[in-house]
Amino acid sequence: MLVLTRRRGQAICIGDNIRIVITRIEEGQVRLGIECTDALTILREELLETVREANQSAQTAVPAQLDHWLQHHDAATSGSSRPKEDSNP
Amino acid sequence: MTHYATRFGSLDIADNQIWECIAAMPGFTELRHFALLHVPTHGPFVWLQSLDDALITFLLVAPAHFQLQYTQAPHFAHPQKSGIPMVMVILPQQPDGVLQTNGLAPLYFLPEKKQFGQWIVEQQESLTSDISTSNTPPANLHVLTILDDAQAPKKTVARPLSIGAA
Repeated sequence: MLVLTRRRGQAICIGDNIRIVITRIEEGQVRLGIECTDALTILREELLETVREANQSAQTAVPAQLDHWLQHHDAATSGSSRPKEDSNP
Repeated sequence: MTHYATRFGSLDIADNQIWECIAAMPGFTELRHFALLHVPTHGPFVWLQSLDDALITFLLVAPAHFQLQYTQAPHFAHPQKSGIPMVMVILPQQPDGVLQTNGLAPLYFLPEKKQFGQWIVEQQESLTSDISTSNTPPANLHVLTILDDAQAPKKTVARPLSIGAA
């Protein structure tokens, strides 16, 4: 990892199109200003991690799981309690 | 028309039914090609099937079913303004659990280009009108309808869904 020391008002540049400015330093926090093109996605790391975890949870879904949920939801919202089907007819 | 292995078995999918992912989904950045599949008995839900990995599918639904809306558009949509946001659904482990949605990271589809991407927003925006009770996916997604008689339930959903937040 490259480590640089900067003071308030100073900046670092990444390539030709990204400029990061230290705008404020106080009470253990650093405030950054980032100049770049609109096409670049900039995210807080914890938000990216939240989305990554949610994506992982979402991709475990299989069609049969939705079938079961829909059947249960349909029975529950129609107000009738359907008897459970016997798996050994 | 090309033959693909999917969660629904082998399917013939035409080139114009293939969606290209232009803003990668965190955790799945290597996946670029997908198809939108719809089982009629699944009501408004749509399956985003990876064509690069047959075992990876995501369940999607229109945000209005979860009383969500997205009034802005992601950077990759510009200058197009006719995109369609969809949200990922996380199925509960038990059938009596509530559905959850990844409202902070909708998928934004551009039908004219057959492209989509995941768009991460800082805050969710609630729908001001009533929750959607539509029983079909958005028509302009032109999803590929498949029949899955062996697993499909006999009835379909025509009521608001139980909701949660991821």
